[in-house]
Amino acid sequence: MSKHVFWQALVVSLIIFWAGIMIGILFENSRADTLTQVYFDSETDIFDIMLQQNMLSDGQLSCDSSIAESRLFADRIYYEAKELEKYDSSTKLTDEIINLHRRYDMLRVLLWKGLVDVQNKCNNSDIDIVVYLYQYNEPSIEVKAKQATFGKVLSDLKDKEGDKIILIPIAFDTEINSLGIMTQEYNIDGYPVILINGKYKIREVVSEQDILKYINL
Amino acid sequence: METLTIIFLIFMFFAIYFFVFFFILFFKNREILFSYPEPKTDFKVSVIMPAYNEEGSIEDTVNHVMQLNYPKDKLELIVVNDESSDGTLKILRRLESKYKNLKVIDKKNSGKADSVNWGIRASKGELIAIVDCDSFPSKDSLKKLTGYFRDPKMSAVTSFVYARNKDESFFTKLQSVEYIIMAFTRKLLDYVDSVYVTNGPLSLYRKEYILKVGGFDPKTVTEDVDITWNLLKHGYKTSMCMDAGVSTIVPNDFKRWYHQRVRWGLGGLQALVKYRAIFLRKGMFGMFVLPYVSFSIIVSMYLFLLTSYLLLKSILQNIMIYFYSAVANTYIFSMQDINLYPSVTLFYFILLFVMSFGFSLYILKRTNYEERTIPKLFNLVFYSVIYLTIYAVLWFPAFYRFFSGDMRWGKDDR
Repeated sequence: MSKHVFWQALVVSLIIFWAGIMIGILFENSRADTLTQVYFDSETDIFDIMLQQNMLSDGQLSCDSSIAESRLFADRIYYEAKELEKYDSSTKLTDEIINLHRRYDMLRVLLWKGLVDVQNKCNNSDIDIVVYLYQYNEPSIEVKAKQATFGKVLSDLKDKEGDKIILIPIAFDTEINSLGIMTQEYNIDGYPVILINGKYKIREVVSEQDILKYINL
Repeated sequence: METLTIIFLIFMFFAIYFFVFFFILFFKNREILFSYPEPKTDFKVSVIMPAYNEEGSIEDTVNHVMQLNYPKDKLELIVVNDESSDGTLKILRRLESKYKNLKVIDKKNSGKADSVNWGIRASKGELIAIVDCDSFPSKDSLKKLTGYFRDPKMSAVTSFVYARNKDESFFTKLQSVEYIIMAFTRKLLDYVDSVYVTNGPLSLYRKEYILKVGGFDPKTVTEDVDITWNLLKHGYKTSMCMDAGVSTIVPNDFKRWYHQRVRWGLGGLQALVKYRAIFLRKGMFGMFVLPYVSFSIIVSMYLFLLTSYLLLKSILQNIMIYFYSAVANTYIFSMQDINLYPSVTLFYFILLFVMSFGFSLYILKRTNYEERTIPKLFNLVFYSVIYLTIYAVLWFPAFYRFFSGDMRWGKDDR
């Protein structure tokens, strides 16, 4: 009789399980490391943008140049964030991607604030800032469905209009205090919501054409 | 880490453990799976067949038993007619005049277990073979089982059951796969003294020990499970012979299959409650068999509930997305929506599925002898994915019947 098999199976399965977890963690960390590198590049760029905004105040830089730089940067972090979201549901063992998500959200809040300042300083109606505030942590089925549709409509809009609109999706529930201040400023109390140029709030699902009505283009 | 992920990983660990456990057992014993102790034919054997409305198969089964390769002076057949309402008794009376060592007992209806007890009381053998009326032991099967009783602690030895009517329909083909896998895992459990079911189609018992534990319990709906657990509880040994084959007629329609399997589930629950005091106590039975059976039930139900919950959630969400998409006038699906970055848990799941699938395929190949044939790959895939999922559902009516006190044999039960 082979009663030792109970212990042997335990040892072998512990090894397999441990190896699986380790490989999983390594795999997730390697994904996070790749994105962290990209994030650091973006972080450097946002400081550059902020510096340019200071120069704009001093009259050292034109509004057009500042807006052009902001558009480019906004587009870049929009697509980086899209890449990040692909990994979101695949990350099970580590918190790296979640932390990175939060840092990207902070970056986007900073960009939003910066763009609003540029809009005010330049008195410019050429910039269309579309901020999409959504729920990141455990949304209900209804909210998830709504967000999936909002996301799709906005993504289609972005694909069609390109850098004519600046789309900034931000998770509202990742405990970023500055975001709380921004949303208070615009009297936003329900989510998900699309905020267009700080004036129009869209809470219910609408078509691309309906959103375009509020955009200057 | 999410709670769902933690629970999933715990279940994955246990699944890996049991896979490795069975694999090691197989690897260590791969050369002796089909071997058996030298037969000992000086035992007097009484074959008992409880019969209830079996006119379709009883004659064939009696003929099979009478043609068993076992000394005729050491073999008697007792058929206990449990007040059949069809022509069973008439056939039996005719066969009684044909075979000298066939005895027919006709009694009021009292269920299968009680019929077996009647047979035991009327028997003269030291060993008792129980054969279902819709089962057909192969010629040498009984002989091959006798050698195990050289061990004075051996109380029961069971056989390899396979589906006689496997080519009747796709449904019977699936059950054929199931029976082979069941028999194989049962044999592997034999190497840790944990054969916990001595099946109804053909099992051989030591009469002395059956009487010592009080015979078959008429209150249970799976008397074969109950008697085995009772014997294990009393410290007796049970075993299984892979080379002793018996074919049985498996249900060929969903309704009969459903009733049979719910009864099996109900019997399992009855046994778990009846022997709960032994849980995690008293040797292999309490320390391994009871936790193993309980764990199998919990995992089966949990995985079904979890899958249903996730599936239902996904369906509801997609309905809502569909509704919102109509309002937004956008497409609901595009190739970009497919997640190309599978999670670690999914990798685990796929790895385990592939390993289990490969092992099952190997099992089916190894057991391909005599009239058994390798089931098609599609049947095995269907069995692993759909059949086992449906099977998990049956625990719910079994639980319902258990808690509502419905412990009867139904008219479709076999």
